[in-house]
Amino acid sequence: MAESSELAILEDYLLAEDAPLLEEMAEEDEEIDLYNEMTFGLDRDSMEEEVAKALAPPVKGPELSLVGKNEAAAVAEVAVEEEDEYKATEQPGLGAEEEQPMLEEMEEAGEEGEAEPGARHDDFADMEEEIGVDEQEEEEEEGEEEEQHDEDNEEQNDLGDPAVMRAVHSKPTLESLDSAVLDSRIGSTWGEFEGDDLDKAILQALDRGPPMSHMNLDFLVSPAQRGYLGSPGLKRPDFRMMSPKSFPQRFMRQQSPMMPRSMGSPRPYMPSRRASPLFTPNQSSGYVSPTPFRPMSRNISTPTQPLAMHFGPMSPSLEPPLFFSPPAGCQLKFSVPSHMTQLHPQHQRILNQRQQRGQAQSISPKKAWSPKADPYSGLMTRKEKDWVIKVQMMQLQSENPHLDDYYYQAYYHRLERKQAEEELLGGRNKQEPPKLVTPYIQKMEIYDSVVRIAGSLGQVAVSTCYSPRRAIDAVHHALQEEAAGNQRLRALHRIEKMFLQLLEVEETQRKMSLLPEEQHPRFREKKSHEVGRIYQALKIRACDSEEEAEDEFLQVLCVRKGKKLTARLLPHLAREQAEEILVTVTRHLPFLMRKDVLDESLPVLYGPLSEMVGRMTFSELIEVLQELTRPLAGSTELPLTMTFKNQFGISLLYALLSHGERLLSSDMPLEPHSGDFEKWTDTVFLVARELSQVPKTALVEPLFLPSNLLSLFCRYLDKQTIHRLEAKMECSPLPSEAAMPC
Amino acid sequence: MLFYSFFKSLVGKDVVVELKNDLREPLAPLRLGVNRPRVCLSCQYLNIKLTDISVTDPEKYPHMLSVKNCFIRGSVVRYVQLPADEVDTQLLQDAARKEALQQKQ
Repeated sequence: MAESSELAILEDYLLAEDAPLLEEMAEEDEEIDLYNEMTFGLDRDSMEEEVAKALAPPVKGPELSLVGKNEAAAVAEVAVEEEDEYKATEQPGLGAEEEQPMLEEMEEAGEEGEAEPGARHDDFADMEEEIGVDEQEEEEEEGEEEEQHDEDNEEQNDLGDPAVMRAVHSKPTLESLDSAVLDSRIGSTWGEFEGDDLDKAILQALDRGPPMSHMNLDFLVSPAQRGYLGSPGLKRPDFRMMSPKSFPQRFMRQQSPMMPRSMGSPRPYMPSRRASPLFTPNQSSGYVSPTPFRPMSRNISTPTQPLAMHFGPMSPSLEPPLFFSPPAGCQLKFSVPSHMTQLHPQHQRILNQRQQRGQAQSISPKKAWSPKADPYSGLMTRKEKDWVIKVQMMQLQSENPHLDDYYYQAYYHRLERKQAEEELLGGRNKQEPPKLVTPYIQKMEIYDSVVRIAGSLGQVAVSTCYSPRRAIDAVHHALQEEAAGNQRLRALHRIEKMFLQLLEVEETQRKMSLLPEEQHPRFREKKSHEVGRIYQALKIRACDSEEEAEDEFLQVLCVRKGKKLTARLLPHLAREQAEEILVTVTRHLPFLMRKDVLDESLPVLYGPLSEMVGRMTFSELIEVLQELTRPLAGSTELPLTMTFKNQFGISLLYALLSHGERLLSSDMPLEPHSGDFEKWTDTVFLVARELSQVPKTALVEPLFLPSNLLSLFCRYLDKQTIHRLEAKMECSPLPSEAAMPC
Repeated sequence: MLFYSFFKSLVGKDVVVELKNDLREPLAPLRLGVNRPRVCLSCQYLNIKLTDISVTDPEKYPHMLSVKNCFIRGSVVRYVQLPADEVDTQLLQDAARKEALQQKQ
């Protein structure tokens, strides 16, 4: 911050010489720092300064870094390098008030950095890459130019828990710049933490850029900071007690189930001042930890880093450092908070790819960011920005990410599965590690909206921050929507209810697949019970053609939503139930086809029904076919003929015939009932006759044309007819027609 | 949270955003970055951050020619035109049903 800019000038001086002078400035800035930290979280600068100090009582002077080093002996080289750097660049004469939490974090980071590689080889094998990726992304976010060189070395070590901010970050972020002004052609991908030389090159170029720019922005910033002179003179003990709630949060984070590493011993005095005093414990009555974010401080770059930026289009999801969770299977248990939008790893991977592609394409026209000072940049410090982000993210936290974020999670499950399939099929060589879904949740305590005081009469009017005027216990009763007289509405209402049940069923199904085998029977039972309920609700029953309009099931089927519901339900149904549906559909096919003229959504039923057909026995098949050949009352036309005009109808017919043919040509015993074969041949003849009579133009293209239809006809018909049928149905001609016993 | 979740799945895809001031901004290459809409109990702002934008009508809005990335406040968006194959309508319906159910409870 302010002092660091001044320090930049004083870099050349030996620190020991100017210790007293710097101390004064340091003290003054300390207060500002404290205030800022309270508001926005710990500043990176101050953090790094603290890193250079000892845990022990503050010792000023260059010895600090040494002592700090000793103290943090367990810290990985990463931290050490940082300290080195700060010896050189930062004035160590600051108060040590903030050092401890900082150092603790550093140690943590260091330990994690160390432990990470060890803990890496475990079931979260695919997380390694992600962790590395995310680490680097983090670094990207929080990079300071000065440390770029060191950080480059550290990048390989950056396997720590991204939940804990590393003080070392390589890549400056876009946040410090007005993104709208940035020329995106400069941009490489934000995913370039994976070794983008361009960024480094540019940054190095900028390094050599005018140091004046550093100063300019400092002038802009420092007045603002100086305005914070009203910072309370909080001492360390206060800090420690200030955010007790962050502690469990932090603890939780550290012990996040996804991070199987040895946790650094949490320092008992760790205040974890991440929680800003703005979110006092009392404010949010239900918060387990007031802020859902990790210590954001580390990624705060100071205004002395005006050129600290990330070149290229910046995914907003990266703006705060990333945080990830265990693979999909475990995400239900995961409740570590994070304060930023986090994308599904798959998603990020795709984005990375695109960026890299874009980078590869646009790498030539890129020009280095001109180091002209933008008078409007840097108005907000990194801390402030992060603070705003935190506030926003807080509102996003949800207790139930599975429900609130349902779309995104489900979408990416499917994407993952598809990609996994593709890979199995040998589509791609590289196995892109599935990234993790990001929850940004935090378990919130349930608060009593209505406070009941024992002995009082009724309810006491209590206002909370959530419900300022919730004085009565108003319960929202589901409206009884019995829309009188409007069949369609009623049908829709029923469909919706059944859909909810169906969703439950599918949910149960999904859970079942995730759980071990022993619990399957229980789930299966539950599922079949639910399915049975839905089936009952469908109210399928036999009805005559006169009652078709009133039959509830048929009404359901008339609506597109109802068809979709049925189609989705069919795979879950028991065999008899599914058959019942098939029979009903076939029986009333003309009615349904008539009703479907506008919608044309019957084909949605085709898939499940054809699957059903494929499992039928011969007798059942005959039964179903009988439905089609039974002449309709009040019409001379056979249902059969009517199916020719409807895509679904004809497809269903073909499917039935094809299955029959398959059964006949296979060697399996058919166990037909008496008269079955006759009915079958009758049906075939009938179909053939009708087909030949129908003009080709009236014949609709089926959804799927089974290949064995012609062979079926061959069995029973003469060549001429077959030729005609072949032409009509546009089947591929039989390979060896002469061989057929026609 | 539904549309926030929905838009998250669209991060990185091309969209065309039409604003209420009749400005239409399609993206040539992708990078719709969905920015943090605020969820406050039941409200969401659905602000949108677009990268690498282009404007359909450069003559009418010459000032946008130089803009590559922008941040759009959610309230000024009239339409967001999405790529059809990126949207799973069935999933969307399911999510809507679940959300409706949750709200009723």
